[in-house]
Amino acid sequence: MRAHANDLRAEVEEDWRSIVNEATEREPTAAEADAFVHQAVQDWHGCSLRPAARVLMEFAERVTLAPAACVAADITNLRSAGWSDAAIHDAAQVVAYFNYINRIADALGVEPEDGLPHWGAGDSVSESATR
Amino acid sequence: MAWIRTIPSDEAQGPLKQLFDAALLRAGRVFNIVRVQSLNPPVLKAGIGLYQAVMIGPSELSRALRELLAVVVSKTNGCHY
Repeated sequence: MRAHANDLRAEVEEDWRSIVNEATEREPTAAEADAFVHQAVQDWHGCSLRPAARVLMEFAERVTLAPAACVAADITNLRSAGWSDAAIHDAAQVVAYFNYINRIADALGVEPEDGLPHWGAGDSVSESATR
Repeated sequence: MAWIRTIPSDEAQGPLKQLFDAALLRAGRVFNIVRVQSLNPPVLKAGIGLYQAVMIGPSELSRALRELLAVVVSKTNGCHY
């Protein structure tokens, strides 16, 4: 989680429009980008997401929690939100890859990386990173 | 330390050494999730290739969207790594 959150923080400013608001004119401030990642780690449901991004994240949650319960209507739902079949395929690959690598980490006792910021708690990255 | 044996950087040879060297160039360190797979370099190599194709390769999905998907999945799984 922490390693992935760090990767998200590295990308969120440049791709802000793709996740938060297509119509936004300006890049987020560093504080806004930090706050977004904190919220995503704490509870992503509370993030301000553009509707198409939210539908994609709900798909990720569903595939992770109840893969055998997925139905064709889930894909129709993603298409209605504007996603192409190629994008839906790529999302399924990302979701499946992280379910795989999460299990490697949990099954084999992989330890968190030293020195990475702590996302999802506290008011600022630098403060929590010194804990 | 992980719960299985892993190979320290100074003992890595051949294909594993190449993978560790590439990880150092890429990330400045050998991440624990990479090192834990050090007992089977071909699998490690294939996994890194899949990661790069899925997460960094060409896609309609932005890099941030893919990283947010990673966070959502890891959080849903309760995976702390």
